[in-house]
Order: sequence, then C-alpha cells, then structure tokens
Amino acid sequence: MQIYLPIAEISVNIFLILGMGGAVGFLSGVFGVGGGFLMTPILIFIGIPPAVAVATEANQIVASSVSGVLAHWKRGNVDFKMGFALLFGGIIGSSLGVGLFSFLRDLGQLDLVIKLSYVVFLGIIGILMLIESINTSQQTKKNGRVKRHSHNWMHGLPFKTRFRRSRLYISALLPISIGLLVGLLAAIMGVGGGFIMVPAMIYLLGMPTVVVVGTSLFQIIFVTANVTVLQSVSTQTVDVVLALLLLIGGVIGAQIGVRVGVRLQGEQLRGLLALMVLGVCVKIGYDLVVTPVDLYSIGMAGY
Amino acid sequence: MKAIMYAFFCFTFLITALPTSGHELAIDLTKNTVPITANFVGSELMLYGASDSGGDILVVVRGPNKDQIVRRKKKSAIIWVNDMEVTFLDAPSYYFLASTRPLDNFLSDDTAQREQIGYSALSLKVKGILHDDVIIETFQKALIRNKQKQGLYGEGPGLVSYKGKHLFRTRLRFPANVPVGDYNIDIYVFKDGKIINKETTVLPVQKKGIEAQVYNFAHQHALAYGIVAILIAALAGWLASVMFRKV
Repeated sequence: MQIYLPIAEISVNIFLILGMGGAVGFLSGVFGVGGGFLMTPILIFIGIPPAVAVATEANQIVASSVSGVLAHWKRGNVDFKMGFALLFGGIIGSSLGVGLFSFLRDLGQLDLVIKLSYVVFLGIIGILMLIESINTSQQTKKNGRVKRHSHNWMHGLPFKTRFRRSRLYISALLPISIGLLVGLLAAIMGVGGGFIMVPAMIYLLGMPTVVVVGTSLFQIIFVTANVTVLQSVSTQTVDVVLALLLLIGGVIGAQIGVRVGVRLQGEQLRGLLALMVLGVCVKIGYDLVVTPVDLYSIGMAGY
Repeated sequence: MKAIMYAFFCFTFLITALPTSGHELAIDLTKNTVPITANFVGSELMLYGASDSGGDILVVVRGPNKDQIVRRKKKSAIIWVNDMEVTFLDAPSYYFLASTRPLDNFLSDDTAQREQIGYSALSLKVKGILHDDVIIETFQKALIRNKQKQGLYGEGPGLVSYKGKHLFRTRLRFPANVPVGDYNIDIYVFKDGKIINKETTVLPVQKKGIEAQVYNFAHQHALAYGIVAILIAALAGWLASVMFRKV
C-alpha cells in the first residue's frame, strides 16, 4: 500500500516505513541506543530527500526519548541540573546547526556534509564498539579498578558548580560545551546524539553510569524539539506523516527489543551492531568515492 | 468503467459537435484536475479531440515554470563534490510532447522556434554571471537528461492516434513526483508544415484533502506546525510508555 508524503512529496510503501521504524526501534530497544544514526541514512537510501530525512528524524526522536526518559525518571536516574547545563549548550548548538544547515543547502553542499559527518562518526563509533566487544568477550582477567576520573586541566576552569546527583564538582562550561557540540551534530545529522553524548558524559565528565542514559535522554528531548521547530520554520522539511509512521513502528519495535535484549548475550550483539554501523558507514563512504553515473544533477528546488 | 463511459461520452459529444466545414478543433480531457491525495502514485488521463480537417496533431504539456538548479560534480581528493552550478530561470518543471508522427515530418525549425516546441527550442534564461555557451548547453542537456530520468520530461512521437478521419486521442501520464501547479496543454493541428489550428487548455495538478491541509499548515503556519509536530511526538512517546508498562 502506497502513501504520498505531503512534505517529502514522494510516494512510499507504508509497510516499508513501518517495517523500518520497527527494525530500528527493535535495535534501539535491544542496545539502548537512539537509532537516529541508523534511521536517517536508511531514509536517505530509500529516496527521502536528505533535508526531509534529517528534520523528520529529529521529530521522531522526540517521541522515542520521551518514552525512554519516563522509566529513568521514575527511578530517579535523571540529573536535572546536569541536564539543564547540557541543554543550555544543546539549544545554542542545535540552533547554530539549523542555521548552518540552511546555509549549506543554499551552497549546494548539504548532502555532502551530511554524508561526510556520517562516514566520520559512524566509522569512529563502529570501530570503538567493535574493539570494546572484542575486548570484553575475551574476558580481561585483570580486574583492575577503573578510576572514574582524575584531576586535570579541566578542573581549573571557572564557574565551578556542584552536580549533586552526579556527585561531581566541575565547571559548568564542560557540560555546556559538550551539549553545544552534540546539538550542532544533532541538527545536521538528524540524530539525538546519544551515541556521542553518553561516552562523553562517562569519560570526559566522569558521571556515574546509572544517571547517564536518563540525563542524556532528558536533554535530547528538548534539543530535538528545538531542531523540529527551527526546521519547520526555516526549511519546512518536517514531514509529520512520515514521522508518525516511523514512530508507530519504532515504539512497537523498541518494546519488543527491550524484552528480547534482556535474554540475549550482550557482547556478541554489541559486536553485531558495530558491524552494522560500519556497514552503513562503508555504504555512504562508497557512494561518495565511486564515480557517479551522471556528474550532473538537478538541485532540489526548495530543499 | 466510469472512465470508459466518460470516454464514450466524449466521443459521442465530439462527433455530434463536429462542424461540417472549416478548420475546427475540439478537445476534451477525461479528468479536469489531477488531485494528489494520500494514495497518489501518479495519474493517467486521456485527451480526446476532433479535427475536421485531419492533419498532424501535436500535444504540448508544460508544467509550472520554476527555477531549476543544475550542479556538476568534480573529483576532489577522493570524493565527488559539487563544484559548479547553473540556475535556469523559469524552466518548465514538466514538459511532454505527443504527436502523430516524429516532429521533423511536419514541424519546421522556424515554427518550432516561434512556438517554442521541442527541447532545442526551450529558450532558458540563465541566472547571474554569464558562462560561455558551450557550458550552458552542456548544463541544459544535463537538465533535460535528469528530468527525463525522473519521468518529468518526455517525447512521444506516434502517441497521438487517429480513430477514423477526424477523431484522435492520446494518453497523458503524470508520475508520483509530479510538481503541483497549473499545467498548460496546447494542441496544434499541422497541415503542409503549417499550423492551421490551435487549442489551449489548463489542467490543475493539486494536493487534495489531508495532503493539502498538512502542506498548507506547514508552509503558512510554520511555527504552529513545528509545535504541533512536537506535541504529537511527545504524546505518542508518553502513550507508548503507559501502554507497554501494563503488558
């Protein structure tokens, strides 16, 4: 059954979109990742204009983050003070990102920048995940205590603030600048940014892992909401029909994924996800390198 | 069935309305709009006509004019990057020619230029700095080639067929990616290389129903649209967590 998307202005198979939402939702349920970094490239592969894919995916992530954050909130695993600091940077970053997005589009380089960002970040994340899964499955016998954080130059920065829930006393500039960078990426890549935010919170800020996911989801809601509104106003590329189809599939897939995930062997799965991420990365990279069939293309008017 | 009935009606109407002498031309379409609805996958309609003097028929369909940007990629280091662009001002977003015979059998270059019929006669203006003609020609060819690939430009010599001496018909196709707007359909009758008759009709291609409402909302009240989009998403997220908690 075909459905015509009013903003993307193309006709797509409704079950394909629901299935994609379900599959990516399932993976995000199993692994606890947002899934934007898989969904946006897949949307582009099936022919959704990149600008629409990025803006619409931001809208869908609002839904999945709201549904995810509630469980963490109930358990008290959200550090709101830290969340607001990240969010402060995130709003600035994502607003800059949407501006940059329009600028690049007018320049005719938007597709290239989106694809390059994906190659770089999916490549890095995929390799790190693969290494981690190989290391842990080889069961390191040395059970050395991991030091949560050490004192370095970052602790000399001004505006020191106490984040009680995270048991940290650090400069507010740190979470703000992390939020800013991730917000910028979120706006350009159509992702929540959890896959960068979470490692940054653990390794750079030294937050306890128990509050990391909830806090990250909390700020992602508002950053992606900001992107949705700004894209709606400046580029009119948010397709609510597409977002709705994706989130119906995504919500169901995620719930199944969560239930399946607890019964599965974590490390092999993490390795599989890493391979999948690298697969998407290689596909996008290959398309950039291979000689195009036609060197000339028609720029999308209005995109 | 409805379409066949309508086609039959068109034919009978055209036969009875056919004048006895002179160069008369009458045409009709099986649909007077192309509505883009939620299940739109493209559309097809028939154009029927009657020309009492026979002759070669040429049908020219032009979609709304829009600026079209054509970009060229160049290899930079190892990746392909857009390095040059040419904007054609007010180029037809859709262009289709259907005729009884190949164009050069009845259409002279002069007439083609004057009436702007055929790709080579599309006089496209270029925006901004003037590049040299060779470059512009290459880009114009690229525009036509890409538009053909999208199914938005096309030529159909032989697609107009006569039924008897006076009645003719042709099929017009609009793919799912058809741009919205008013389409101009010109029907020419040629005899001995000259235009002896011409009719023009307008066919609106429009989003209808929910498609139109969503599109208009997104463009006319962009801020409210964005906020509604967030509220829908937040509500769906909340509903999902409530629904599945009890399972």
